[in-house]
Amino acid sequence: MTRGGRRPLRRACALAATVTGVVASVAGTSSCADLSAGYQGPAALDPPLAGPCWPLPDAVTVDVGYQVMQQYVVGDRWVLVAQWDRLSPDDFTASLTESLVDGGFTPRGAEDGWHRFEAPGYGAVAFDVTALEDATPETLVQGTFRLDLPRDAARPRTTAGCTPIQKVDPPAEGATVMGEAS
Amino acid sequence: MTDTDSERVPGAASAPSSGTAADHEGSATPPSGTRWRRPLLPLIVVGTLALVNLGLRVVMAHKALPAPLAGDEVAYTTGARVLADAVRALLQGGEVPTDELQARLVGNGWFMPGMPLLIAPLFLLDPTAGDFTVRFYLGVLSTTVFLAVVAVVARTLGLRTAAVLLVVPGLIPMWALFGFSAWGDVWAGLVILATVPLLVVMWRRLDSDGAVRLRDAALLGLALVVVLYLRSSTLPLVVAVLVLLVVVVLLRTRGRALARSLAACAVAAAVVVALLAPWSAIMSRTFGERVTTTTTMSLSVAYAFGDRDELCFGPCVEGNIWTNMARYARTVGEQTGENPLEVRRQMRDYAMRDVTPSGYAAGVLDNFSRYAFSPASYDHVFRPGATRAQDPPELAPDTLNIAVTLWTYLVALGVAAVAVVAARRVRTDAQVMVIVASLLLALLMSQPFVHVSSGRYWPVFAPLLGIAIAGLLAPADLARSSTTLRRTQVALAVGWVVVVGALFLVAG
Repeated sequence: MTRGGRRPLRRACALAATVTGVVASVAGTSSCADLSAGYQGPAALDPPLAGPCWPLPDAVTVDVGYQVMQQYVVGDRWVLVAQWDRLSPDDFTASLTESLVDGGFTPRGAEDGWHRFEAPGYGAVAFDVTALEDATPETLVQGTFRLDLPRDAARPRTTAGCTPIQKVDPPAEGATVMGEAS
Repeated sequence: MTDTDSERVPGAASAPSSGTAADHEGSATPPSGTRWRRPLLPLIVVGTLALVNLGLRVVMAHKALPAPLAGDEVAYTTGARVLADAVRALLQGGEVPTDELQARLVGNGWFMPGMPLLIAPLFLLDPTAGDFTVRFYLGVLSTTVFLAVVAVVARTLGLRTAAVLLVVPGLIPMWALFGFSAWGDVWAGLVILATVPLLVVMWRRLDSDGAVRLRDAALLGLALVVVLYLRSSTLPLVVAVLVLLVVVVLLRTRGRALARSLAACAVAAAVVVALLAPWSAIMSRTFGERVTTTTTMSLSVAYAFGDRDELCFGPCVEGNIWTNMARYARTVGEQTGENPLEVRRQMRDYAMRDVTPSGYAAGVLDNFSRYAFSPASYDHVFRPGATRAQDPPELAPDTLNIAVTLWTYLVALGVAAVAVVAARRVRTDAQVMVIVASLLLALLMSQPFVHVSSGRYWPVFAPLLGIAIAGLLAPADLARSSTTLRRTQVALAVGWVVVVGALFLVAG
């Protein structure tokens, strides 16, 4: 391609990047670490629960479809609010429990609806589950779960762009089951 | 003013029986070859109105040109840039940016490519064109197209109708302002207006026992598909016009004329299908299921009528709701292996699970009030951008534009409503004009039933108000009035009253 052809293409790309940037900033999304500059638009979800961006230990393999919707911070705890897909609440609880146990976590029982776990060197995690109102077995999304993690987990291990997560204020009650606020 | 130029009806020039068009036009002037005898006053009035239109556009240019492109205008213009890049790359043997084309033209599937196609030539000429140049280009083009369509109307429907159009929508300030915009509504409205003389010409030929000409049918098909490329919400209109054409042909013709007319109808439909097919194919391949125009419907219905806190099976992420809903659907699709369009339908069903008929009707009326009764609400868009934010007077609402737009538009709407409801005994041409305007207006009123409305959309139907008004202003002519057409008009009027009444009734 000649130079005459490249320049407008670059301009279009620059414009597209600007638009994306504006949309991203208007969207009020923010990654926990300052990664918004690396945001590349609504690409495929980089699984936040385990992986380089929002890590549980790599050994944790989540077998359920999910989408992270929000995040909030309470004291030294970092809570992800996510939806899970397809499975009933009981099956989802069983599946996520199994994933955590297989990934090296030890169950520490349930408290106020939170299922608690702990792994040496990582710390305590917990999740709670709320079924989607009026969901039928055919509904793709079946409910919302909160994953209560050590705040240290919010430090991505990558410099690549991570999917930003909307930051919200923690709920007045029951924001976490652990940490300073509990 | 009288419609005195009927003898120059292009569509009737080759009519089987001579003088037919002049008969239908109800002209008081002598038949063909008497152009020089035409009274001068109507021409002067139309000429003056055309000049006033140009003057208004110049005034409005001062307001429109400094305003940065906003919202969907940006998306359309970005699409145009990428399209121009692709054409340039193709011509120069370079690599066509297909990914960029896919991302900017198809994207979430919200938009038709009509506006990008319209703007792309500007970027071929000037790859560096900014918002000012885009608005200038569109303003000049829309003014030219409008005056050209008015000229066609003057030739086919008469100078009275042309004069009315130069006032409604011509002199509604906000409509002139929308002529500088990159939204497709005003453009689709112009092309819909262009279908009216075509339809009337077809009617004249059928009414004089002729057949629909292939050329007219092909032109109608072309106009309809252009409308569709500019505004996907006009799909009901496009389908209904084609169906109506067939119905009228079946009712009015027999024998060879029937066969020829049906063939012409087939040509019209074939033009629409053939020119829409490439886009439908691209969309369908992209989204993995059959998509005719856009993918907007499910989420637009959900957003317009559903619980907005439940659109993403709960609240969506903050920000641009349209982008976020589409992104969410894609994410859930990736996580579940389901087609994102199916996810969108589930999102709609879930958000609308508690919608009652009365809630829906109230929503439609709410949309309708913004669709048809807030013509000046987009005044704020045509103000200087953030760079001039320090200059408060320029950012203040333009009360003159708002007031003049509101009053001219509302008076026009009122008179057009009278035209639609009052079935007067006028010559058949005027009857057909009112029927066509009433029917097309009704079809364009489908949008508030499926999409959240704003003061952006009315330019799509504004020219039809002018057509209806012109029909109303036609002199009473009992001898040339058709009882069948009058009954049709009454039926349509009853339809309007029943639908609007039912909405109010159901909404409580």
